[in-house]
Amino acid sequence: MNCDKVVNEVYTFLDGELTGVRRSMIEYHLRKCSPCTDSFHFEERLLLLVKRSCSDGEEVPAELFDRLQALIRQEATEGTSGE
Amino acid sequence: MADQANFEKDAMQFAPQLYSAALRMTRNPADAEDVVQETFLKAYRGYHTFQEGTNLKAWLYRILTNTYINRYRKKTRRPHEVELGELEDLYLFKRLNETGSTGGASRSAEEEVLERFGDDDIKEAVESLPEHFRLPVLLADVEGFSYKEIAEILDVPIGTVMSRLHRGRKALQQRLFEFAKEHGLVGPKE
Repeated sequence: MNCDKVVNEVYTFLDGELTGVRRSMIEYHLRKCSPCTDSFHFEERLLLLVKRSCSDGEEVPAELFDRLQALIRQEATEGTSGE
Repeated sequence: MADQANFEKDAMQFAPQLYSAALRMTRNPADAEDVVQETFLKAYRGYHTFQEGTNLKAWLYRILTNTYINRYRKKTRRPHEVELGELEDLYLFKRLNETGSTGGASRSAEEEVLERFGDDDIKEAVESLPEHFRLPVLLADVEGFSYKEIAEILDVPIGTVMSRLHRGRKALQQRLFEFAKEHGLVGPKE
């Protein structure tokens, strides 16, 4: 496998969507090729950064939580006559 | 078949995640609340159709995504549906490498630049993506769904998920490189 082919699979590899022989081939290549290893690390780091930046800090407003609960309970009492 | 009586106990735990995803989709708190509210109502009403033992989180995200799309696709008339053309692999890595702002000698120089981005830069870059890229990127990178789950949530073939996700990530890198230049995180090679 050459570098281009390996780089082409960077996302399927990092996403854990690549299995079996193809995965092993890439792992083998990465052990020998430091430019590819660097770029894989970079991509991995960036994916983690996106996850971290977009998933923390956003609390559900307490009143939304209450409203959701009220909505469901109201629906539960009203809905019994339907369907 | 799931019992509606258990809905609160089963589904409410996902409210924070769904709200956060809705914020990234709608880009504002009021709309995000509306979308989440509608999602929970629909989910409650349809809960008897949910197959117990299957993936509740994915089921809820499917409703969330559809709610968002139905509400906002009409309104926005896809202003961002600009084709980006094919971006090369490792777009950001290569750009940072070329600008060599950190000297280029250190192996982790490119990664160091990443650390200089603030959470808000990343969020803004994700939110700036056109919808057909933003949704797969959110579902994969933030929510951690597999390609197959995303295909089910968005109701598109797996090949489409892969293509949009991979192109979306490159588009994200392009935005980040723009930010990096604007904020002086990278400079011309010295």
